[in-house]
Amino acid sequence: MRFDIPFSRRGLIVWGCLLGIGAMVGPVLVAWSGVYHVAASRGHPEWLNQVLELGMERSVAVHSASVNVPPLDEPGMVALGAGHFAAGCASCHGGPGEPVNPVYDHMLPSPPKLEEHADDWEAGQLYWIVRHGLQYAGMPGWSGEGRGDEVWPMVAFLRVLPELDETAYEDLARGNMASVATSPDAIAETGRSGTPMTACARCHDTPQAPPTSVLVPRLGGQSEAYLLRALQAYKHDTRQSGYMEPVASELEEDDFAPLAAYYATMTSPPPEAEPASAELVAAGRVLAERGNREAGVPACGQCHGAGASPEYPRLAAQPAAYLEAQLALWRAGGRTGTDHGRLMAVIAERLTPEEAQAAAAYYQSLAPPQPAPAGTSRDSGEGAP
Amino acid sequence: MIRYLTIIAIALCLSSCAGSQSAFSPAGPDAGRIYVLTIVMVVGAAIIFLGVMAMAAAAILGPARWRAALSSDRLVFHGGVVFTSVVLTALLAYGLFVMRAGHGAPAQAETAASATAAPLRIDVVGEQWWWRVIYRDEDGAAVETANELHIPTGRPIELSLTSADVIHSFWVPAYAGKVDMVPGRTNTLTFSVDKPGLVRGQCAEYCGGPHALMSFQMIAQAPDDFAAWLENERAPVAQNGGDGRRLFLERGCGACHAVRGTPADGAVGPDLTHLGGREMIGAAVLPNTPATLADWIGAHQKIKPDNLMPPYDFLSDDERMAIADWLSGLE
Repeated sequence: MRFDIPFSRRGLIVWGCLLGIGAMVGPVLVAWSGVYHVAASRGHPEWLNQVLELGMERSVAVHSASVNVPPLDEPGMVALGAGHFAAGCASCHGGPGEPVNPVYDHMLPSPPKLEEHADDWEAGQLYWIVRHGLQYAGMPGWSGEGRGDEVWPMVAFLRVLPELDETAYEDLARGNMASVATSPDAIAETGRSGTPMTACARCHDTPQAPPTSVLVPRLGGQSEAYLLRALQAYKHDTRQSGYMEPVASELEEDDFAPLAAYYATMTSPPPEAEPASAELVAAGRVLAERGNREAGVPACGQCHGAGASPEYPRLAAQPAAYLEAQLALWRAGGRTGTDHGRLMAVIAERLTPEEAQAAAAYYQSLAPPQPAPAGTSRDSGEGAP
Repeated sequence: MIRYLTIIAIALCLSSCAGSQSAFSPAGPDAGRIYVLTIVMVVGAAIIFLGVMAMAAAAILGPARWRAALSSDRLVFHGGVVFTSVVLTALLAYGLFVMRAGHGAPAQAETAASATAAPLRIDVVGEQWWWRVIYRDEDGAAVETANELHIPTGRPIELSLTSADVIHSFWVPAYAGKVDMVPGRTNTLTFSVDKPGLVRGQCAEYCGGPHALMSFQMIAQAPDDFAAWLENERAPVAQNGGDGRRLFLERGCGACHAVRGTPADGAVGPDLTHLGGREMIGAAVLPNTPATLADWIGAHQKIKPDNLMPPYDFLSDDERMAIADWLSGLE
């Protein structure tokens, strides 16, 4: 059966072409004419707002559908996320008892208060937004490339954020930082210290306290050369971390050496972590002292124990969760931007997840290394353990 | 012109068959017997082939009388059944004799000395992509080295061959036939050598990545020289050693490589205790000099791609040279 079309075939083609050209040229003409008002102060018309929100919500929902959510109640996740949130995110999003800075409140769209709106999203969707950011909204993607693993502590924190009162948030956010300067002359001269990005003690150890999270390494007594190299690698984008790259970026290169020396000579308490089982520690000890010849795994202790080069990091009394996360990162193909990282990558790839867990548990169980006396931390010992 | 070039090309190709890693240059009695067997087989096969071709030509082109004779049942029976049975049976017997099938310790009786001496047992383990070599005393003490086998002349050598990972094949053509090294199994290769010399061996079973760069050297020495070598090899290295020794230990080289007499006791990679005394490095890839050792430390993934040593790109030239100097001094 045939329907009669009320146009000739040629007419159809001509109209089709005109419509197509119009659809392409029309928006360009509108843009060129300058009639559209881009001022943030003007806001979007309500109908456009609704279309844009629909597009964003659907896009996040569709693209985050395949994200697998790991357990979010592992030790240390919330504390690590809180420290970064307070220094990095709160300037735009505010926090409990901390209003959004009026400057950022005048963005379009204005950043949402997350203690009210984080619950609008599922965990996988929050992960996706923090990892990738949002176009046209000023929300940046995660600055540590390939470090999706680092985003989950942020998600864990955002899940508890709506329940936090002002004091609980303040405690979590400031970590090991000293109390805020409130004297008028201190404020007048250096400002009221909130939670600046470059305050290491937000997350790391101090002479009085261990790191705020078992996902954060202990710096007290660490090898000076290693600390210096790590800061340089974060600054020059050869080591990826959304937590540390912004810090190294704000620090000056001249700060690195004194900071490395400060931590190399500092004594701090061991991490507050669940002790691992004796069997796990024993298995880790075998790896650390003898390695695994069949798998080609050399003994960890020859490079990471006493007597090894001061260029290599000391692992004694590091939190197991941090060590395991770093080994997992290498096994997933990360941390290969530096010469030392490429060396370790070869060895980490030969470890099974169980071996990595055991080695990490063993090093956590050790007493903290003796910090280097000031000024002598680059002297080298002889022999191996 | 083309004919002359072809002849020259063939001559050049054949000349490359000679040398320290060639079954055509046998340097011991066992390889000699294999060589004679090869020649007998190839020449015999050539003569038989030419005879068969001549008969085929006669059967097609020859006069009627030849063709009638060639088609007789008698010729088919004698040429096709009797002749082949006799030749193949003789060849089998000869082959079994060369292999000394059924003898636990073949290749004795070359000299009075070798007939009476107990065989020297050496463990050789094929690893990706090098050779672990272990000499064992009567009391069980082991002396480990790598990629270079020293053997005494005039005494049966019994190699105990196995593999740490995949199937390798141990082949030192100038001295003996090739034997596979199979994980979980120990194969034995027994042979003897009657005069001192240096030959080269090669892994003869594809074993992944740098298989082609998995070679070794075998050095046959007069019994006294061999005993002196083994005595030296057994001794740990001296305690002093300056920067090179310090760097080697501090940088963790000892986690994979053992140097007896130092805290370095790694068993993952080749034992380097008397590295300075070896002819070559990297499983017979480069001649052993301080400069090539320093190159190896810095660029081993370029020299021998995919080998299992991790990259040490962060060592300075001076550091590499200091380590190489120290290792070269360990004779």
